Amino acid sequence: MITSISSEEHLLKISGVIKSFPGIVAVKKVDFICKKGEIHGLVGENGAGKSTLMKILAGVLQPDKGQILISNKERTFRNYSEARKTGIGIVYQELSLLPDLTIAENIYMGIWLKRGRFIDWEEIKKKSKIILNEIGVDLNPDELVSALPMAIRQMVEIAKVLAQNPEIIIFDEPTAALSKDEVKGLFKILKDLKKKGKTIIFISHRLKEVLDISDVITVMKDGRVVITEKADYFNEDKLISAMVGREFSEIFPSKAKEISKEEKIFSFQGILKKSKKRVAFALSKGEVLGIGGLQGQGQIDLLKSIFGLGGCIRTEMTLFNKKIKVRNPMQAIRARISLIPEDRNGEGVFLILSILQNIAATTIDRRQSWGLVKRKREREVVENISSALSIKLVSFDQVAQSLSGGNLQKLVLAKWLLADPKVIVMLEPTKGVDVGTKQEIYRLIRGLAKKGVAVILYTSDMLELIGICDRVLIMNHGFFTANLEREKITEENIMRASVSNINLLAGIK
Amino acid sequence: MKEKQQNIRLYIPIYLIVITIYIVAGIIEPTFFTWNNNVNLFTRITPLIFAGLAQTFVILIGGIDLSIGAIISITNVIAASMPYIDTPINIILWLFVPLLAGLTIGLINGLIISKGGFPPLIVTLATGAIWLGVTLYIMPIPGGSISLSVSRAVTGKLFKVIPSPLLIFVIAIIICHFILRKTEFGRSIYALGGNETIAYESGIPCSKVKIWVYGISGLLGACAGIFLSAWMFSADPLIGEPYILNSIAVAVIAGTSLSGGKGGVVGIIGGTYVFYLINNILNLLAISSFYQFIAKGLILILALIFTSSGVNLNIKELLRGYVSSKKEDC
Repeated sequence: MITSISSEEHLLKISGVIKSFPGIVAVKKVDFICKKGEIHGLVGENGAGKSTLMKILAGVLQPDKGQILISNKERTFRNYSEARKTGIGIVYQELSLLPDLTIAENIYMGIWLKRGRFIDWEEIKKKSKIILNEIGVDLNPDELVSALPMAIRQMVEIAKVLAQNPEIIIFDEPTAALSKDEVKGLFKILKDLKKKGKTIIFISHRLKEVLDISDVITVMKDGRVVITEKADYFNEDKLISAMVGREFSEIFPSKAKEISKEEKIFSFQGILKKSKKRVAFALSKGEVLGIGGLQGQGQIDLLKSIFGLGGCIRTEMTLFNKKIKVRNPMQAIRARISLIPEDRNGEGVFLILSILQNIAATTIDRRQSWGLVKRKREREVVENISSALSIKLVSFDQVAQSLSGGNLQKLVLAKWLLADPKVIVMLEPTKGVDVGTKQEIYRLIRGLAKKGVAVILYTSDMLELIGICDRVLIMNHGFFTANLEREKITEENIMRASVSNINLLAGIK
Repeated sequence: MKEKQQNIRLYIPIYLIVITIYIVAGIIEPTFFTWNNNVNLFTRITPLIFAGLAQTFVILIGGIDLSIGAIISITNVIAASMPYIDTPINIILWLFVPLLAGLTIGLINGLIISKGGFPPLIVTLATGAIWLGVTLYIMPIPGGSISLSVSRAVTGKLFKVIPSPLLIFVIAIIICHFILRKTEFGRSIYALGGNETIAYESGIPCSKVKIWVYGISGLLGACAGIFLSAWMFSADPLIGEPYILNSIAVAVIAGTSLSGGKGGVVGIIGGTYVFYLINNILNLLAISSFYQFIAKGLILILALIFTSSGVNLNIKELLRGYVSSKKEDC
């Protein structure tokens, strides 16, 4: 445990840390200083080295060179459990809970409280409950984690780290999966922890949140620290230009000037299984349609059923005024429909297969004769599409899991663009992706719409809805409560339609 | 081109091990290097090569085939139960009836696994038991017979020079390699093994691929059974049993990952050789049988350490990372 020191002293000092992976130096001679009791925001594009640096601090990775000083004592950690004993805790972006165990079992995993030689379950349950209450959730510690919604799991994850009573707590993108209200709750916890004298390092891509919560912010770029300043010094524009050297206004491409309502290219109608409600929409040529609303209102079900993955019954779709039948993904791909899935690692990328195999997967059948793959042709098209999307890679035969988050997302895009879609459904295409890649994806979306592809975008990022979409449909309890166009797409309108009382609206209709 | 280099690099360790064991064997017993001994060895490894190929296909999609032993036994018994007077029609029967039986059994496995969504481990354990029972019903004790000239043709030499078994298994491996690497079907196998959900959502006909992979496994098992009938000159209803686990071991030593999606058939000869050379050496050294089991187990674990996907690659990647960090200098 760290002994108490005066607040002016540096609790944590990382100096000259270098870490390289095959083919890339992820962290280049980084210095990083943290005072006791501060919330330290850490931002940077994907692959800037934030996560690597934090993993080094938590002992998950070992640096090639450099020093870690905690309370002026040099420390080297061979693994996380050594770092944990020294008072460092890390809350990961991907949750590390075991779904088939109870909350209490998860919280005290590996740090079992014992009475004599045996595990003291009563004590563990009691303490779990206390910790959970401290962060404002009231849960039965005997409940299985699999029964909990995502946001609550995040709280259990935090409780798990707090159970180790750490002095320095690292939050690696904890808000990526949380809604606005849940983020508020999390921030309250962070502030409470700060009051108790804990030091917090907070990593996020959502810059507004970082600005809101942090005392000090460090910006990383290409494995180096660009700047460390008090949070008051920054605003969103300043942060972005430090991260990428671009201005905020340049992020979104300009929207379509005129959309002729006559020319419908795609229409959908069906009945949502969950809510038993009929939903229908249509897209005009050149239009980017956004689907918004609070999370979990049926948007994902609706959009996945366009691709033939359940969700809706009695679906009817037309593409260029011709009826199409889609019962499964195979038919969807044949009908030229692509779906960028929400969960990149679970549904998007074959992690252990090569980049080439990944990108070619959806369209193998289009480049074959008599069952034989035309390999030269395949390599050509894969090379073309990946250079068009500027995927950073060493070779097409490298395994996909060696790519960084932003590049993986581009890989998914490449795979689905190669299928030559007429309709493309994108679920959270910029989730966990850096600003630079986001900008590229926005430009791509606009370019597709211009070419006459029907683009349907689901995102929980309101700025994105406002910035990129020509029209936004807000979903609330399984049906559309608003159809916003152009100037009407404002933060206020979106929010109002998202939270409006569903029964009231139904009454009006 | 790069892809090829990478693949070759993957198979270097297994063949280095084989060469080492081979040389050790030769030093212990000089007759080991004689052509005759080697021709003998070709014959002996052929059934296991077929079984290993069968298992590789199944493991590549993340499955497993425990019925391979029963498939070998039943096709072996069927082959030796065919009329054995030398007429072309009889030779065709001897070849195609067991092949058809193997294919059918495999396809049934595939159907149950893909349509029922059951775990392949249990399904093939169950169907294996059923077919073993059927085999014992057909032929309770070793027996049967096959045509002498067929047996000579299969286990002898082509044009009095090339040993037929060598020719048979090399052709089989080349065909399998071709299917895996160059065909749409092969691509689908790797995709399915890589991640079934993504494969489905990428429009790959998962159940069709699965059914045919088990079908191929049955077909290759039948090849082993037929070859055994020609070699043994008769059939044994229990002949397939040892091949169940040995085929899995061979596939894994040859570099195929048990979780699927990674590997191939190029290392199969090496994997099989490791198996038989160990036996051979231990016999030559006149080591008693229980020590033989112990030694065999230990050598297999060693072989795994050096060959199975992951271990050696990590070492290489570490080295490469070290070099590149020096180059870039921070």
